[in-house]
Amino acid sequence: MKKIILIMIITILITGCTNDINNEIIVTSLYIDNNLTCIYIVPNEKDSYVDTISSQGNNYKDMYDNLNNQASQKLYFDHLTTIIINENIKYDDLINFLNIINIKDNVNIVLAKNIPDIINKYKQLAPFTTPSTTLKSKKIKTITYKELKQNKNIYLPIITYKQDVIFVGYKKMQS
Amino acid sequence: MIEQIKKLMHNTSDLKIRTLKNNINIIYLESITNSLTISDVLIKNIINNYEHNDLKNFIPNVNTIEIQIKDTPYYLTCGFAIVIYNNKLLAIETRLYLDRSISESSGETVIRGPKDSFNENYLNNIGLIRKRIKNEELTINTYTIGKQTNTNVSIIYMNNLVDKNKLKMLEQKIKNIKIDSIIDSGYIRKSLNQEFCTFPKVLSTERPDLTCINLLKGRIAIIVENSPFALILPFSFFEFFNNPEDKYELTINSIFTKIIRFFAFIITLYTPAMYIAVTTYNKDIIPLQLLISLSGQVRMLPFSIIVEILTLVTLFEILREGDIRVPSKMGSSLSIVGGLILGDAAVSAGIASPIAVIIVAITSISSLLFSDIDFINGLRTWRYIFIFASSFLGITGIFITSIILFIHLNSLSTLKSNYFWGIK
Repeated sequence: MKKIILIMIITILITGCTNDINNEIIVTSLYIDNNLTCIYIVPNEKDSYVDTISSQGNNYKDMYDNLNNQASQKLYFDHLTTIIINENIKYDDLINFLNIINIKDNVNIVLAKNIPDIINKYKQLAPFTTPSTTLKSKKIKTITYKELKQNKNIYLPIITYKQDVIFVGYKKMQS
Repeated sequence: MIEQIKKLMHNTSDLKIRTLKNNINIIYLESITNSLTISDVLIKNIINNYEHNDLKNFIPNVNTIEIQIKDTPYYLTCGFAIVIYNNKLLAIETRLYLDRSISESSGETVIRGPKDSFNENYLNNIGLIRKRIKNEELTINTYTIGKQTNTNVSIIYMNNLVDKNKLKMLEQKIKNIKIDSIIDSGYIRKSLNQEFCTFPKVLSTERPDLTCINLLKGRIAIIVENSPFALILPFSFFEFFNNPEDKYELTINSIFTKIIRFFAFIITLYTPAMYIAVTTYNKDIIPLQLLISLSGQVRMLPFSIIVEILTLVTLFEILREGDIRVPSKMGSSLSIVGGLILGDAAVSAGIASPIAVIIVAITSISSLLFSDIDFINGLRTWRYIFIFASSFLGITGIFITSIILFIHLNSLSTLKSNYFWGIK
């Protein structure tokens, strides 16, 4: 009996208690240009709300660390659906950074101009609408992180903002 | 002779001695003998026929045996009166039946089907079976077990249907039971279930109709003196998914009920563990909308999800135990206080989330679809094991535990039949 009680206490102490959902905020989209910005949801029993955090740094890793430091709770990236990147970002830099943060293969990657305007627009539409869902609703083909990793020369959709989000065309990332 | 009997009975205070004419003595234990039978039948006939040398022929009682002095304690404790005359000892059955009447089953109720159930009277119980199976193939072998209690244990089977090897095996097991006392059939059940197993391998039922159904399937029933529960074996794991009423329903409906029971089995075993897994380790498998909803509900909780679930599951088990033990009149108030008020208050006080209360409620209600209490308790044990496994490893833990459970159930046998599949 003593052993069973001991096992129960140890279990409670060493299990994934700290990983459960009440200690995390859910990131739905990540925007990368000179800043690293994420749109996240703060779940609430009655009214969940959407907010953004932005960070700067010498490199992407730095920006990511600063982003985590600024967040009130642990950032949870498993429900990240879209990464919007500046059209001038280099392919290798992006892939190295995404490897560090260990994102899922099915995340959509979209190139963009006027990222701050796009963030403002999608902050109002979040959490369920992101640039990639807008593109998909217009039947425009989107590219996943997995496809990007496999083919360096793949063409990514590019969007801009002029009173509304506009699909411009497809563009290759810089090497 | 009287002094000798008194000594054999350790001068127990309920031992009564009546001395009649012609130095005829009657000795009996007043606590277990029928005083009316003693005065109206026994004393009256002895007084009228005391001059006859062969008194045995003048007592109108079926069970009248001439015994030796060393046998007197056994017959006295069985409710016999001992008549001493001409240095002879005559045991005459004057048993007082200290039993309740045949009543409706309290633990295995049915809407459609026979309502009678076994009681503590051993002969009544056998009679309830004989009443249903009027066939000479119905055979009863009785053994006396228990050094202190000398309890009658009967093995009942259909001679033409039973597997003789299994019968032999069971008889051997029964004979090998070395136990001081048997108060209820649960003692025998425990002795037959010595292999480590959380689920029961023997069905315990208080329904004579269910006992007969199983006897007619070639199974063996065990009736124990003073126990209202018959034991039936061999019984496989999936047969615990059946309900006494299934036989009386339309086939298609009973199949559908069994499917529902199977889902209830999955729900009661896996739901709390799955909830812990998806909110702790495997959040990525739930849709974003659901994740936001769950996260919103648990955000203000002072405890982690595993502590919350463990507390609620344990509280429900306490409530269930309490509900079983308290008198039935108090049971409903306990349910209202425990289920409704405590649940609602815990959510309002921010100690538990509504989703956790729903999960524990669904889990607990699902387990109550099974009629065998040992099966329900087995499910409870595995539910805790699954909760701990998912707390360590999430869905991987649940998967590993499922494999362990499957291997465990597959490795068990009951009278040389596979317990899980019921295959010989």
